[in-house]
Amino acid sequence: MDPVRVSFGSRPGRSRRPVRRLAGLLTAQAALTTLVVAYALAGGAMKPDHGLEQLGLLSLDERVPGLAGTGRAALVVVSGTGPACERKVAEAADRRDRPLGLPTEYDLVVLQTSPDVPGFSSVGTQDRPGIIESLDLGGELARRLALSRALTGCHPGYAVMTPDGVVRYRTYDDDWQRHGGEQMTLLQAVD
Amino acid sequence: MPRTVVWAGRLALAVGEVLLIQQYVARGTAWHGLIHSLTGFAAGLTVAAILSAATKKPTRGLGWAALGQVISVAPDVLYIARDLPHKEWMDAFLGHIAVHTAWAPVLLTFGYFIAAGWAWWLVSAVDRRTTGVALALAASAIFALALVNADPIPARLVDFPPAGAEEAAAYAAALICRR
Repeated sequence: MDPVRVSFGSRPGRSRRPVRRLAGLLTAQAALTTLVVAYALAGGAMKPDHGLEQLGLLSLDERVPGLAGTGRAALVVVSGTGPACERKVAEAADRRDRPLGLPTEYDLVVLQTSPDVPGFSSVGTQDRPGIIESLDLGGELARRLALSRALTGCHPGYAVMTPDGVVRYRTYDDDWQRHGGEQMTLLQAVD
Repeated sequence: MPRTVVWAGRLALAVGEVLLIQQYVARGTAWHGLIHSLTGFAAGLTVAAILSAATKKPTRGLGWAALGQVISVAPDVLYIARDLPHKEWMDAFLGHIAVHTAWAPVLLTFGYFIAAGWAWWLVSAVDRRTTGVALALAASAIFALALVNADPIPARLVDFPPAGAEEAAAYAAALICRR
């Protein structure tokens, strides 16, 4: 094996400075290794659909039985029951039209689901646009929206629905109540 | 290049990096920031290694890594600054869409970054051009292969992976059968 040729600037042109470059490389790699390890130790998600969470791509185009259009672009949140989930719903209501909150020009429908409550109902807020409808519906709609994890613990998610009731997007988002800017971009695109 | 300009550039990069991280964290999308940044750094260092080998001159790894990161995160910047949702064609930005559903995105992009870093150092710092370029190209090829084989983005709600462990296992089995 050839020995590594080390140049300390003896070549014409810019110096290669191997030791200095090695120090820079190791520093960068150590910093990013720390970040990756910290991500893993913090329980960095490895769920089956993790790559699809908050992807921001409108890949869907389908109607869901039980969900009716509200006449305006709507954010349909599937939230579990319990104090933590309810705090998030209250925070979302409080943040409407404020920084990090969802503007009131879009509807916000919250489905509070519980696996113990069977069945589902039609959802629509046509008569009261722009307000929060919090409906205790049971798990069926959550399953239809591929958001079943909302039923087990507080792992909420949401769907983005066109004014005539077509679902264009769905994602889990544990802090959905603080991501109004991200949601508004999607709602603007389907409005 | 004057030393003050170099340091001003480094300072600007550091400030930009902090602002970028802050934007990702505020949206609860640090994971996205991590994989796209790693991809960008790796691609930039790959180009730096190949350029260094081609010109037989050392290249600035930091500058090329930063340029790669800018390209890789561009769709997210468009999302935030221009209210533009992601589209499939944004794969042109170093696989920005496909990398999400590739096998183990964090490990994949981290491995690519580590390999590209050493490739750049081998070529640019110790003049081992053949080894460095071979390493850079092999890492890039593995990354590209992972993107090509990434799971498709679901076009129907039933295509989303299920929530529970048992459901997930059944889904994985169905996925294998479908291929």
